[in-house]
Amino acid sequence: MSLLKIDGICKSFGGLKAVDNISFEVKEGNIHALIGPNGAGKTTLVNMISGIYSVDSGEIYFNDEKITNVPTHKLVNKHIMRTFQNLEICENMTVMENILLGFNINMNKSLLKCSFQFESILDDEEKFTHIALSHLKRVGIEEHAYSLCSDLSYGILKKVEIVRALAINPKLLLLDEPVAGLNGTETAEIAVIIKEIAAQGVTVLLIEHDMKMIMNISDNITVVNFGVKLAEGIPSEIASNPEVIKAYLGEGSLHE
Amino acid sequence: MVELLQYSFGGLTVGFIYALVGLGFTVIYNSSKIINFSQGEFVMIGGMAAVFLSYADFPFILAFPMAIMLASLLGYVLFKLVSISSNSSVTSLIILTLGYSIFIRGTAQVGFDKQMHTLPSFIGDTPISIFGATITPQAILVIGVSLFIVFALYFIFNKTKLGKAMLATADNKSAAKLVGISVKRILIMNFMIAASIASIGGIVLTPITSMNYEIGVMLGLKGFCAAIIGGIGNPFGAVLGGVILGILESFVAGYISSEYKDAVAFIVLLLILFFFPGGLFGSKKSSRV
Amino acid sequence: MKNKGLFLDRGIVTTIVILCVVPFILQNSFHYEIAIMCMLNAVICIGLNMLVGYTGQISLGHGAFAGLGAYVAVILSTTYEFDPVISILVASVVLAVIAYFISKPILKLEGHYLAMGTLAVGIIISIVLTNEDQLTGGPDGMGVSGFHILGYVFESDIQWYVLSALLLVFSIWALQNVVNSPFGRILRCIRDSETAAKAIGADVPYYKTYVFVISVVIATVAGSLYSYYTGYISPEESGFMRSIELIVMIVFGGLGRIYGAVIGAIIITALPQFLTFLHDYEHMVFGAIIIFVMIFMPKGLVSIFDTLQVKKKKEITKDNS
Repeated sequence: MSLLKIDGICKSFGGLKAVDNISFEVKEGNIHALIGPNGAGKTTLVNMISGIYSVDSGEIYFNDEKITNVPTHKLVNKHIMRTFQNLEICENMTVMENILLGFNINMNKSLLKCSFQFESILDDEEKFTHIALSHLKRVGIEEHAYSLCSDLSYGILKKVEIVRALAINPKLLLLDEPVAGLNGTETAEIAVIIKEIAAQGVTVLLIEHDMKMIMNISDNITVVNFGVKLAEGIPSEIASNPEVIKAYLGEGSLHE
Repeated sequence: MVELLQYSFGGLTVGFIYALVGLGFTVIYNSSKIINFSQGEFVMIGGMAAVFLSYADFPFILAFPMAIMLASLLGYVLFKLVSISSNSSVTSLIILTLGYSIFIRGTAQVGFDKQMHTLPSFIGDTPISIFGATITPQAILVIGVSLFIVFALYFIFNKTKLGKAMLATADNKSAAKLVGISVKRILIMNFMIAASIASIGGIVLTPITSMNYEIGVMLGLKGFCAAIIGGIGNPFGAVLGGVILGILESFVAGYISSEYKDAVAFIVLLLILFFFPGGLFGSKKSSRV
Repeated sequence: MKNKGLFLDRGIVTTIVILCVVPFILQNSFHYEIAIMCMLNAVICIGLNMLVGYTGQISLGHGAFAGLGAYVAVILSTTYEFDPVISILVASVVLAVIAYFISKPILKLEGHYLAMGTLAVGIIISIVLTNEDQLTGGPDGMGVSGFHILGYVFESDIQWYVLSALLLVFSIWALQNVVNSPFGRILRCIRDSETAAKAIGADVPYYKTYVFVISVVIATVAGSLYSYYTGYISPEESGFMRSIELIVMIVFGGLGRIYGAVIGAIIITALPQFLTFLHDYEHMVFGAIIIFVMIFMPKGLVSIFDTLQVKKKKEITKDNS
């Protein structure tokens, strides 16, 4: 069953066509990778899916429901969450506060109740703090729960962003270069986390450049270049696809 | 028709002062991304210093350059204050330049006084008639001097090596440093230039509107409006913005209501911010997510 | 987190104690006026800080809203003889509506543009208030009716002092609760990363408008009370310098810190009074102080307490090892 369906979407910036008539489907429960050289249009695509950019033409379906041009914050209600290539973390807040933000849609937020510290607000805080701590434990960073994010390393913050996205048990998780800038150990840790997430039923759409990790954990791969879909298939098919090799390594490599 | 022309002349005159303020503001903004809320005070200092120096029997030929140098020095001091600031957040710097403007005003209050002061017109008083409307020689001087400054700056920025260095610094400080440009010296020059041109504006304006220690506030604010209307960071935009603003203000005062004259600049500013956020001649920015 | 909670409660207790002690130091009506002005300014600053410090939206026009709100209330009760409390309520609603409609286009702006936009709105409001002298008494201002709550008249300094103090303590307590609550977290998230706020399901424009309106209403209430207390209102209270004064207060004290707003308000309100002996040098010194603090204590005066806390923590860990 395809959870996410992209149907012929296009996006231009000025005269430049960043995404040109791309279509693909992401099956429920899969880890679906979106790869391609820098500037291929991957992030633009994900930004369109998650409502950050508007779609020029084409449609996006989630669970057979049209979600084209639905703004980001409304997609959260449908349990679509994402992480960002450029790390959108609240630096002046603690890790715990960032994670608690992940629970936002499940929390009581009325200003009146908050001002007067109603029981329901305090109960929520306790409940979600507990859940947050267990999540942080699973990814191994619970010791930093009350540290200020501006004091923490990039690798830890990448994990924080993932935990924040997982807080409400999303159905679809969009990960935009979750291991960019991380070393080998950190990358392996994230790869394990992603596999565990998928094992629990979360559908993952993953943009990445790290080929080893992609080949290792993906169920399906879509390759894009210059805004156009180049190829699609399971890892072994993609690895031996001449067009893909050409796109990444250049014309010459085919003749080696 | 004569009325229209008359209002236009009035508007043009004050418009060029807004243009100079806006231009100075743009020069500082381009090189350091700082909104200098004390820009208007440089105008005031130029005028007041010129007046008091002439009271002290200095001939114009000495008084004016001295006034300009004083303003220039204040520009340098501002640069120093900004560069030793440990926090460069937008809000902190806004407050810093505001504090500086309050300080300059306070000093002017004490160093000069709280009265209105004026200078005699520099090149005579006989109004000149153009198509039935009159314009004073001093007003023509204001326009002429302002235009001269605008073209001089254009020449410096675009045709000289120094100017190119300034543009480079404005665009990318690190890159400029890497090619051997002394960024610090460029910044100092920019601050001093901004203060100087504002003070020149103040000097030539004095015979027309008189000066007191408080005129800097509104002039500064309207100068910003001019810069933003033209497109923040665009020097020609600032000049055009100032002129348009001056003329619009004059029309409103003449045809609609003189009480709401001051509101014009801000209403136009809001309209620009809402409908042409890059200003009339500016560029649109976008950020990567 | 628990540690932080204790500190905050200590803060409120300390505040209450100080507020109870202060009247014994105040010797005359003028002293009371300063104290009350400090407290009411602190309330306005707490609201403004919510907008600027916690949500990251600069507003250089808040003085105008405070002034406009006060004018509405005061005109209703003086010219039209409404009950003062009703007047303040009506003024709050009117200003809330105005703020709502202004916020829609204005809060789409960011950074410097937002600063200039709010500045422009503020100046336009203050020009209108100055010029519509039929309604407002013009640049000379107007006298204001007396103030009473359900018939209980507020006439004496001590009555106003208690009223202002209660308002201040309540504001501090309520805002503290908000800051650490889900609502407050969303505001702070907007300040740090609007994209992150969207990504966790927050409708950013909705929250920005919400906070803007609340801060305007708070300013209206406190501003109105001040006019009732002094018995007088003038357009200067809505002027550009007033707006700047408010921003200086919250930045001076410490942006994004409740007690920063309070301390900043108290010092900036009271300081000029202590500087009057300097007569004409007052502004010069005031400007110099602002410059000094912005350069050397950009996080505001409250940061002094931070360094003391860090020192204390270091001592504690030293003792433990």
